[in-house]
Amino acid sequence: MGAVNWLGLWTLYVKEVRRFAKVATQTIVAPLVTTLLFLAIFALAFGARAEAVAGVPFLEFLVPGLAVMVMVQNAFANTASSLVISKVQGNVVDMLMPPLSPGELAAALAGGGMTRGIVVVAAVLPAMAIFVPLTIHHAGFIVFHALAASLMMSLLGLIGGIWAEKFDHMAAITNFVVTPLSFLSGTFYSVERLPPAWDFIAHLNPFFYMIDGFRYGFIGHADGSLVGGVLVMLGVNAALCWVAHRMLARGYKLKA
Amino acid sequence: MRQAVPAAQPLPRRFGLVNGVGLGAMIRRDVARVIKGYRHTVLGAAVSSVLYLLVFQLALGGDWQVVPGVALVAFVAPGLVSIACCQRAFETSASSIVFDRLEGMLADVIMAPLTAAERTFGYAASAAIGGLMAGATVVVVFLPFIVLVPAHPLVLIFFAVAGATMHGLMGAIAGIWAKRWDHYTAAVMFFVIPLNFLSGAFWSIEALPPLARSLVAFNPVFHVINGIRHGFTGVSEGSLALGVLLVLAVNAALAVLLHRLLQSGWRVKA
Repeated sequence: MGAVNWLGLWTLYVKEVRRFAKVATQTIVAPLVTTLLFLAIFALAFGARAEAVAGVPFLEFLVPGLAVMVMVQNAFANTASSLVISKVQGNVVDMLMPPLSPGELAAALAGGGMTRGIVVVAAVLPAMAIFVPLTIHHAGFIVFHALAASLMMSLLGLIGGIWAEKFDHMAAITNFVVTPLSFLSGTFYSVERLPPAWDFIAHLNPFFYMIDGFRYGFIGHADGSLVGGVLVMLGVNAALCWVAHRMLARGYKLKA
Repeated sequence: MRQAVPAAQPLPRRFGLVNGVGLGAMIRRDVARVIKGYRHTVLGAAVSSVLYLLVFQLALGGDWQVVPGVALVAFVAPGLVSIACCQRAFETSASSIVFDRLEGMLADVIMAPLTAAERTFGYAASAAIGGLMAGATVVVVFLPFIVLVPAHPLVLIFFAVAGATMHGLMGAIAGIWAKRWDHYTAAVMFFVIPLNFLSGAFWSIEALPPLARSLVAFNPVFHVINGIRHGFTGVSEGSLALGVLLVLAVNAALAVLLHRLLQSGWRVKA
């Protein structure tokens, strides 16, 4: 097979993509509707009254935040639910038995999650652009943070999925970790609004950098350091790759 | 000569007018499901409600008044309580039926000596109890941010119970309709959540264009949210009398519909 089992990797990746494409109502249309609902709520609740944030109208500030939020939630949900369902239904062996190395497994699964995140964001952004004018200030930051953020969350979903034994555990991680972090890390407001102590904590939070960097690509304003954001995302991704690889190599909670 | 065996006749009901034991068992079973899954059913709702409250507070700053004299948090918090209560009520009855159907256990409810009316009441009551538990939990977790003290307890109780019952009935109808989890999720994502989120939990009706403002008066969910808000804060944006009548009428219509569906065995009996 050579150094990399490309056929196996590609096959697992395609299986992961087909898995979410088959239930597109839940995996793509539902997030799209939820995001538009958020936009409608904020547009109506704040109306014309909302003051500009970071020099741009509130809704233009909000749209990139909503987009990155829904992207990472879906990237996470994809790898996490794929693994938990396979484990609960007992077909995870079909993934562990083929001649795939831990690195290949991680790449194919994370690739599936990233694909779902990117597909969702590619559906959500044009839909929101109908209502709110979007300008692109720096495409490089948009692409980098879209890829880095969805990779980070796919890997987190992979790690969470390996750890979780029941759907309950997965729902707990989603409800108590992923949703709060994606809500409170600057999606809806500039972190400059936070009290100073929280402001400091926000700057330690990778979720903050991915939202901030992605939004910079659209509005040209960042609350935090841009270079710092890129470095944090690269560092966190490298660390998560290592953890996911270790877990798969050891068979933690996967092999007896 | 062998005697012909007479065909089995259904035994007459021995429970009097209402099968209280069966009804009690049915309600206890569905409430026990909510309690058993408390992490998802009750705490999940509590966490997301706190998140919405925090996001609104942080995005808007603290001192904005949605309607004169009512701070943002005091306006939004009762709306979130209402949403949590109604959504949980819907999900309680809907998931009960879908789960039973897919696990092949729906026969246990159908075979039990319960009339269609008893089953209608059972689904509605257990869903309302589940919804009220979620709503009460949200009131408790809001304590660090806002202490919701009922200004008009009777109004609050009426609209909370009626709203939860309404969603419990809708949930049971959706549960009978849904053949897969997919359909259940679609009903929640595309019907319940938009209906509740767009019905005035977050904004004053003043923010709406005039046409939408007059349409809102006929939206029962708006009246549930408005009634619960009035019960907590004493502020009302609509007519409470109209709200009471509308909510009762919708509940009655839904109960009749659910009763008909359960009686006919639509999508339940072959």
